[in-house]
Amino acid sequence: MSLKRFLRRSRWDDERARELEAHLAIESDANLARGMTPQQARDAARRKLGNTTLVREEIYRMNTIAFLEALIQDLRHGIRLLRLNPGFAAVAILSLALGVGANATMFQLLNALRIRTLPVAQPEQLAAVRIAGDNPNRSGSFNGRHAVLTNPLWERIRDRQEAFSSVFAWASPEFDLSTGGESRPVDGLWVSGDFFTTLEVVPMLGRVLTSTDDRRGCASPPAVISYGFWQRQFGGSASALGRTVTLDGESYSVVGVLARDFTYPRARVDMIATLPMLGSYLDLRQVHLLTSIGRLRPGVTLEAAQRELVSIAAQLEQEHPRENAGFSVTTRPLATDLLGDVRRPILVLFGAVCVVALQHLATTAGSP
Amino acid sequence: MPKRGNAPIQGELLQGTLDLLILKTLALGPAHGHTIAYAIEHRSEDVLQVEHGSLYPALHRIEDRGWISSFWGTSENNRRARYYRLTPEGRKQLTEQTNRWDEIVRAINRVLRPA
Repeated sequence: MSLKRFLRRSRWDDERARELEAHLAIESDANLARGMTPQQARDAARRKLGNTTLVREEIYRMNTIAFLEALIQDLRHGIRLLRLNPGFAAVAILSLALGVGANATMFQLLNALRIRTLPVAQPEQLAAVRIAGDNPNRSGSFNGRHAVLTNPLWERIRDRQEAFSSVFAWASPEFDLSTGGESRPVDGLWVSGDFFTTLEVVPMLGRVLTSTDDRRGCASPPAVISYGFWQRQFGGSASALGRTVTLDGESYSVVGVLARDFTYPRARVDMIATLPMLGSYLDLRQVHLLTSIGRLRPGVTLEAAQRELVSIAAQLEQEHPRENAGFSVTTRPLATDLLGDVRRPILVLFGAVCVVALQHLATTAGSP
Repeated sequence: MPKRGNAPIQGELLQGTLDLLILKTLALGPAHGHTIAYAIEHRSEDVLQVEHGSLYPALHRIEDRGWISSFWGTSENNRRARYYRLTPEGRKQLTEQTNRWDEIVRAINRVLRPA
């Protein structure tokens, strides 16, 4: 009641002003009946009522102070009750703390996923390039639920597009580190030449892979390793640079170590090598294995990029009508792309945590 | 602030009992502020002067406690006026406070006029 009045003090004041006005009118009527002139009647009524502004001010103040007093009373009452019953107090405080904590955690998760997404420069400029539609009319293998690009498609799109200042593609294999005997799997990435330059990632040690590494037939193909792998395999020694690692039976030389916080595109990537090492596998038109990401040119909107990609897709369909029938390409912000599958469960979880927090409040408020 | 007035009998005692007088007046039926003041003055044979300026804050305070409720109605002279009526809680308060008042008066009388 008092909170309502506190929040609606102005409306209350209007109400009071009208009420006092009515009072004056009634008193004037009475005075008229006693034989006064209208002017006298009005003046006498005013004198009797006193200063209406003061009356209104007093009521306004009552609404304000009453609210604050009630608040203080409630606080005192609450503290007294809690002191009387420390066990209940502990449970109440604990459950509220857990509720708040859970909410904060979920918010942090949402925040990290939605707002800050990636440990790379200006992630909001990044957009994923994909084949349009969830169930595209294409045969062959797919990487995940969404159709990604084949290497021939990727190369054509890369060469023709202008909306992105740079684009890269990656595939995520599991490498085998063993040189024979028992296999030693490690999470890895095949990346195109512009992977690191587009993400603007700098290495902690040595160098990253560049477009000059992105060609077939390298004698000693380069590989970049994660901080974790560097620690585990090389004891964090600088002499790791130039050492040889064996991936799926091929020898690579370690050229760089990534910073500790590098967690793209997955939390754990230990070994990164260049796409061309896939060799003739890349020429297969049925193998959809590449996820493609581009950094939008300054001033180019996502819509403009989308239009360009659609027209490139139309060209590709014309050039290879049988293979690319009904083919189209779409793009969307990388954050949306990464979150696409998990955003809903996370939002549901967040909602659930909010409901639990409300329940905490309700039970705590209702218990004493 | 026109609360502390200079009317004949209108000291702290009336201030403290104004709420009770209002409740008693409203026990007879809904009334607007002007009628309440008039009724109190009339029934006390003009000994008690209700300062109108303190009447409305009092009404507001009592309404806040839930002892009376208000609504807009039309006065006997066809004017819009805010009417007050006693709530069941207010009726209970009236009985309690009347008893309390009687107690106080008896106590004071015992002091003033020892038997």
